[in-house]
Amino acid sequence: MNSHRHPVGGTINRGHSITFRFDGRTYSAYEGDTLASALLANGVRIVGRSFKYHRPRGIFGMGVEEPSSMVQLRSGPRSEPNVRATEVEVFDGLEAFSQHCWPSVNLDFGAVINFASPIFPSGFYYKTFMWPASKWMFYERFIRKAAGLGKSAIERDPDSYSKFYQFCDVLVVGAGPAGLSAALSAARAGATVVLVDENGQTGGRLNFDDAAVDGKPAQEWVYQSTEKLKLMPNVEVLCRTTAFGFYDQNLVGALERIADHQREPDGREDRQRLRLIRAKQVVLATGAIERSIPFSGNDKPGVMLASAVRGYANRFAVRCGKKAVVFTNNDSAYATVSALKSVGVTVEAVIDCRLASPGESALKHIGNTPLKQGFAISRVRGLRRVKSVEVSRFQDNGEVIGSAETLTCDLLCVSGGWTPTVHLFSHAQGKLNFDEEIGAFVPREQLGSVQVAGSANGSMSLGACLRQGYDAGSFSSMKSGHKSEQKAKVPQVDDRPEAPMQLLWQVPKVRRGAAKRFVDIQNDVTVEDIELAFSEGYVSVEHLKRYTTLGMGTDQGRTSNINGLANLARLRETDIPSVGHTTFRPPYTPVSMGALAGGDFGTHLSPVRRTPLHDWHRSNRAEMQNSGVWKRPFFYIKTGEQVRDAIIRETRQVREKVGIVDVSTLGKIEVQGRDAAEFLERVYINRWKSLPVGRCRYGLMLREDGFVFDDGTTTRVAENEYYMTTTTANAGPVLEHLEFYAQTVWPELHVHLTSVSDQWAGMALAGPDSRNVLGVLIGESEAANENLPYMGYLATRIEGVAVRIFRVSFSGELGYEIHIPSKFAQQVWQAVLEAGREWDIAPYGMEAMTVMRIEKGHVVAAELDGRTTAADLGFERMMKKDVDFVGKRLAERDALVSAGRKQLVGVVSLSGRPIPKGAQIVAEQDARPPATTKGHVTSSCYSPLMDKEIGLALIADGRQIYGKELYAASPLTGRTVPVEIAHHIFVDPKGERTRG
Amino acid sequence: MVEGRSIPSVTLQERFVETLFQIHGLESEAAGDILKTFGIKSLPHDGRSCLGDDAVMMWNGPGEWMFESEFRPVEETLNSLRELFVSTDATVTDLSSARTIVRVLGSSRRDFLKKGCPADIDAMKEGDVITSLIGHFTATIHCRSDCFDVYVLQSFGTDFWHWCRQNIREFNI
Repeated sequence: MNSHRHPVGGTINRGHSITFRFDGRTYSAYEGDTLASALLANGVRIVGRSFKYHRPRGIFGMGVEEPSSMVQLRSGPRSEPNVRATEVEVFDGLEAFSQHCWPSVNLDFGAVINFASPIFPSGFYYKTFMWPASKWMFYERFIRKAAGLGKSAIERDPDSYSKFYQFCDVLVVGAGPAGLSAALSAARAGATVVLVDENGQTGGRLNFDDAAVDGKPAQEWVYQSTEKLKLMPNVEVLCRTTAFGFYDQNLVGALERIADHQREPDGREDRQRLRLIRAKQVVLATGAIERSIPFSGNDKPGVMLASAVRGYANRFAVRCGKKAVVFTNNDSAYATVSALKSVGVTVEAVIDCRLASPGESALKHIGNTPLKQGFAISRVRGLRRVKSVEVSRFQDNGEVIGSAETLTCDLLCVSGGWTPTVHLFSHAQGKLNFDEEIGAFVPREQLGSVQVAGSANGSMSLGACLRQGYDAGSFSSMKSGHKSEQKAKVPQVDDRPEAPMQLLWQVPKVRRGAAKRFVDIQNDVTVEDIELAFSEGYVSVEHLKRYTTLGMGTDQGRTSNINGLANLARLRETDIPSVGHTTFRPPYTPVSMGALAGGDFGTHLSPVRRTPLHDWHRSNRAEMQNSGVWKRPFFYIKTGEQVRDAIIRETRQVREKVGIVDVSTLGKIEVQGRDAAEFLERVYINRWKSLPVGRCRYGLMLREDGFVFDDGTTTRVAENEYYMTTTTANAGPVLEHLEFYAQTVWPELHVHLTSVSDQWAGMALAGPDSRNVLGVLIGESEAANENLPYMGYLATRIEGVAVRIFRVSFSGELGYEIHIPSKFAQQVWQAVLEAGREWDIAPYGMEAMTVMRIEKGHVVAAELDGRTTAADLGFERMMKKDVDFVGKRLAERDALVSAGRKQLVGVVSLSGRPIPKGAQIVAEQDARPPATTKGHVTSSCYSPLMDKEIGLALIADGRQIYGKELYAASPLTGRTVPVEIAHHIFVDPKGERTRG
Repeated sequence: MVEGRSIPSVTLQERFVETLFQIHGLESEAAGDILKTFGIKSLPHDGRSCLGDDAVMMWNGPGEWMFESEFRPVEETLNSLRELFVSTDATVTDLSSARTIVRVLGSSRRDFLKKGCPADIDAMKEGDVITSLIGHFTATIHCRSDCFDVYVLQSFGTDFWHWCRQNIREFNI
């Protein structure tokens, strides 16, 4: 069925064929294929174009290390760029597209850059587009257009994502031989174990290599071990789950791809889940990644990692070519020869740069295949894919000499050794040492609660992986409080010694002008780029990285970083440890924004608070307004009415008749205990001990620095019980402030604080007829001025519901606040409306309330902006002189009492035009920034009562310039309005209406 | 969710309780006789609760408890407690209208809560009480024998319910 698939072998399900599309063409695959294996099986060799030079690129690796074959997956709203073809499990109907090419991957006009590459070395952009600096924004447009790989979907993602918090005794990352062993030994000891692996199945390299465990095929051991683990109640096995970051206190972030291997999630399923796993102990069995060797033309399609070629042959029965050459500096690549032969590929030769013989087991793999020891590939020939390779004699000093021999082949399998995957260990602050034997950085020592096992620890043999895994699992379970009664039996393997590898970081060019030697295939960084960077003074590894972009792509340099470091060390004439390595940072692999956001987007971006009357407001045509996280009625609009008309109507309703507004959002705090009065005395600027039971008082709180913190009314509902209200915005901060003082500063005071903001709904009944309405509800005598005077309090019942009534007013009219247990809010609200029908009662919204509070000169958050003092707002006479309170000392600082401070005043528009909110008060009509300002407008509105545009402002020495004409200038809108400075109380300055 | 695991179920119920109080400053010695009135054997401490006769006392922080009763009338119970507290420094506050209570039942109730709660839900055993987060919402979670009761501020109740609906789909309600 597939041109490059062997008729037998592999672990794919040949009974289930699948069709998929790549660049618009339909191909077939089998269940179990990856997109990469399926493309190779169908003979597709060029999968994409390189980032910088648009060079043709094929499949290079077979897993997370893949730097080259990145595709755009799916179309429409689920479209996703930069997905590694090696990690995509093929499903029926899958669609994939090559990216970064036009018009097609085979004929890409962008490849013209490749021919001009000599003028595009590293640092080209930095050097070229600096001149003149002012033109950078112009250049940027073109650079941005040329940069980037793939395209993000524009449509809204139709899938759901979620988060999941998890705890366990032992988290094992990686389900290869070491990880499975660790999980088995930890689980048998009774520890709760979570085993995560980024692949669709457990086993790691054992799925791709021909190995035996306990005398049986390794896959059998993998299957049995996995089944055992899945049957244990204390174990959770999570495949398709990548541990991408290791954070403080053993918190590991893991991305679970629940439905990425399907066309789309089923109706109930999330597509991906972000797991936040906190483990007592973590075993990192993250394996190792094979690296390449830089030589001329080493990026051409057909040059692949030897382990990948072996894996494609063993697991998928795929022939990555017809005629192959293997180039290596170590024994591991020899197994690729037997794997290739098993699927019918001719192996022309094994090129080993070592003069010494490989190990005995390595030799068994190659049979009669020619072995050229002490040779190296000096050049790959072929324009768009490998056609042949040149082989040159390789000397101990790293030079190549003599005339090159040409071998015809279409596949070159390369192994430059193995690099342990130490990313998570490094995230956990683990330090690394350079291991000269394997030519890679390895963990220096185990951490207290983090064990590294297997090839991630630099131990590359299967036996060592299994043994270290068992030991790490056993140790971790013991450290987490579980000790195994019996010693676990470590499976036996036939580990034969391997010959030492020869470190090989680049093959020198045999002649000038030979093809580029790529270190980083993803970012088109060559050995020559590193040499150029070094010659220009970029001798630090961190500078090298940023100047050349080495290892900065989505693959984070998994196959390239160590080659880059080694070449920098060569140029600096030092060793690799002296050069060091770049910092490993999360995430290990890209994490989708969807998974990071989970369900926290759209209406769930932040929580929404609703008052108990929310539904009533919505069903009575209220336009709702966000006030912090609260939803509040802005105004209630009638048919045919404009917004301005509605606000004016509501304002007049209150000024002339009676209105009702939902004030449930006010912060409410119960202050109880025998020292409650003393406590209030210390946190407010005014007196509280003298307040009799049944009375309210306006209070002002300062911060420690002497500026105003919050205001509100507090009522003495019983001898040792006060009911405090705060502004909506400061309900939480005020409670925190009070708790801080109660718990840490004055713990000797017997005072208890409880937020009752949600317990009590509030409604303000205001207007000249409000007493009449209240009289209907509680009886005329109860509502009478004598019984419930201004700033009085009454606990009574409405409709049988116990309510609290406060004679306070925010509107400047006769008014009452009725507080009701939230459960009964709607019942009482309806009762009030019913009682007020005779007086044409109507609800009003926040905007009408704002208009009336400006007319009355009441301050809100706009004036309590953290920079105003009590004196600025006109409350200096409230401040106790003889008793200490929070903020008193610093409120007396010179700067806070000196002349010239901004004071609260009113402003009246002289032109009849609205006063811009936030406008600066200036002396000149045509003042332009930067200009000296005298203050600013904090609030403004149209006053129906005065038929004028008015506002509140904070102006330097404002109370001394009543009547003066200044200008409110808004640089934002470009509007300037002449204003007259006035007293901040426009309506009823003597309070006759409220006290009436 | 997990390989080999069948799709489990979770069900949600809104609970309506008559009485929910916050109690502060109760001392263990004085509490004994007071709590006996409600059939509660002792004052729970450190993340625990104690069941009585149609009453449960839940530890809610140092020196703080939530007292809940499904059927006892609010005012009568409140007055009764205030009388019992007269000779102590303890105080009681009515929160009967202040919380939305959602009961989470079903075999996957723990997995459901784990989708939003960063605390160790698996470690909770019957009678345990924690205050943590579920999604954006501060929540008190009470582990009962076959369910969890989740208490959130009533003003967040509707939004919390939306969160629950969004996150429960996979559990096949």
